[in-house]
Amino acid sequence: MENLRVKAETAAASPRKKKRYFRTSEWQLYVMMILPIGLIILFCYVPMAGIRLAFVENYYVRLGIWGSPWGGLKWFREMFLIPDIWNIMGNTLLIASLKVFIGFPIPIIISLMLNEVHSKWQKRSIQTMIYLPYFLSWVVLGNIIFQLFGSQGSLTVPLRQIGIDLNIFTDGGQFVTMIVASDLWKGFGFSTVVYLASLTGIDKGLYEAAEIDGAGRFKQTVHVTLPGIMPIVMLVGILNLGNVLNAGFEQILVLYNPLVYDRAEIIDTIVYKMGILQNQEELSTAIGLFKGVISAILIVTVNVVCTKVTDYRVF
Amino acid sequence: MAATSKKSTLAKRRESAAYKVFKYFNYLFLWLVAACCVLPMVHILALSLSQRTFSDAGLVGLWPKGFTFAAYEYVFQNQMFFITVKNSVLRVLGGVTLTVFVNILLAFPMSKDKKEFKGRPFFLAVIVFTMFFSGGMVPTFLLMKQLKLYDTLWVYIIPGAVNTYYALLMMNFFRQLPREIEEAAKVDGCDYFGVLLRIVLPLSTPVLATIVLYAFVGHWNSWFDGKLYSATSMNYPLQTMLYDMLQTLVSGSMSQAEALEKLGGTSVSSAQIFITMLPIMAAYPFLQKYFVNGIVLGSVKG
Repeated sequence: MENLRVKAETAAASPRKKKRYFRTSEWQLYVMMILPIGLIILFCYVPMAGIRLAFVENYYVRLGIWGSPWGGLKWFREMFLIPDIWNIMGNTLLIASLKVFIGFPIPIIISLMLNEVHSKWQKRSIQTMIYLPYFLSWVVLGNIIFQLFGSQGSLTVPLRQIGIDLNIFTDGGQFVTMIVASDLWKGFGFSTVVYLASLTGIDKGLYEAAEIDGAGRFKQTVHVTLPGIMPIVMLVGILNLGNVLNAGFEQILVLYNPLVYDRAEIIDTIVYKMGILQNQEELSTAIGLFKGVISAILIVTVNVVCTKVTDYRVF
Repeated sequence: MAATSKKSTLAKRRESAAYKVFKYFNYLFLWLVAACCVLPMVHILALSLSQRTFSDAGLVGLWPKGFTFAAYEYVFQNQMFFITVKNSVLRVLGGVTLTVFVNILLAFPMSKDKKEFKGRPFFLAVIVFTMFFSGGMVPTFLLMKQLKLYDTLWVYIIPGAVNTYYALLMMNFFRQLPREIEEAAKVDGCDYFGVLLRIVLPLSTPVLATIVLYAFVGHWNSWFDGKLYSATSMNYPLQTMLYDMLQTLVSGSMSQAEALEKLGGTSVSSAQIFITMLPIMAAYPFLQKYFVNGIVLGSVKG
């Protein structure tokens, strides 16, 4: 150990020698990158080049994406001629923004409530329980929701007897409510993690000082806890805004059915249906690209705003 | 610690009547919320362990009625079930291994700074760009067909092996490790591969465990790739089969009674749901700890 330290010191003392050493072995870092960067190029950048598919006259399988003749913006014009397109965009925006605005405050409230639970085991048990849905897939959760709220569901039948008639899989409005509620159910628990982590970071001395100044528990929450978690609240809030086009593809695909298409069809689901199930590759790619570009702009914007407003950095 | 206990005694003395009322309401409310997150799963378990006559009639609550393993026996007789379980297990094993391996190779060089690794800014840009933009479903789908990955199990493992989020998480962790150890090892003649294998990886078990669990949950839970990239159900993972099961129920093409009959009744479908969540439940104690860890690590700025 002593020996090592001496060597390290001599190495640090002669920067030129150190530099030469690094120059000789830096190539190894590039060698390590070959496999992952190769995979990124093949599976991320090659498909990105494939968006030429949105600009072809027609896609001929025989000629491939690059051999098919150029058609300019034909498919983007075509996109706005789809009869339901405005309805679909409206659905997407409505579902996604409901999720963003309802899914944002609730984890904060639950975190503040958990913060008032002073019994350690109860707090831990509650946390363990509310995280659970987050770890299950939409397929599993969808099956559970159907079991509970389907037309013969375990909860539908007793509720019907007391006069509450639920048709969440067949009534469009109820379906949208269910989508938003079940998204909340899956995510709210785990979303508390960031807030709880920042709550533990608040200086205990501030609470004592507030108490000596005569603040009760409620005033302490308003004047110490809330300002303490404000930076993270703002950060999460701004980042969430990047999601106002993501209505939740997998969730909707799992749960919806022809009866609620008019309220539940979203951009992502028609991209799948047209591109994969109906062989309208060009139109589907154009719609996907349209959404992808807007999403990317949104996400970059919110990230830039975050770096400006807070000290947040992703990298 | 001393400060905490002092605070709580102070708090006790100052508790007003209003706060006491709030406290009881608070406990009650949180336990109710927690129950909403767990009781549905308990109900599914109870249904799967009940006799079909009770479960189909909606007479089962949170405790099995007419306790029997018949539904599980029925599921285990289904050959398709075993094929999909096998597919799921294979993709988890292969996928987790490959993901961890590839992301280590990506994260380690990226954890060096610009002076040490001149290509870093360029590669960082290449990696980060993929977080914001992708080629979309159809071009990716056509690529999988062209690469002959379509309708094989490889399609679940290889395309998603590099995960930017995991790589950045690991990179942030590597950067926090004390530089001095690495410098010392290098002076002693270790090259970068040696440093990675002997110094960095042994010190990184927390982040590796986190990534293993993230990848495990991701692979076990993913179902859409199975739907998208399989020609037949022979290559379905378990979750995709469960998706098809739900589709027979919600699509409205048959009456619910007919659809249930086809699936073998409520007990059987519940047994399948429960088996599908079982691996997650089994790993749950670790998941909770390391996922939280991952959130904390992810927020460490590099």
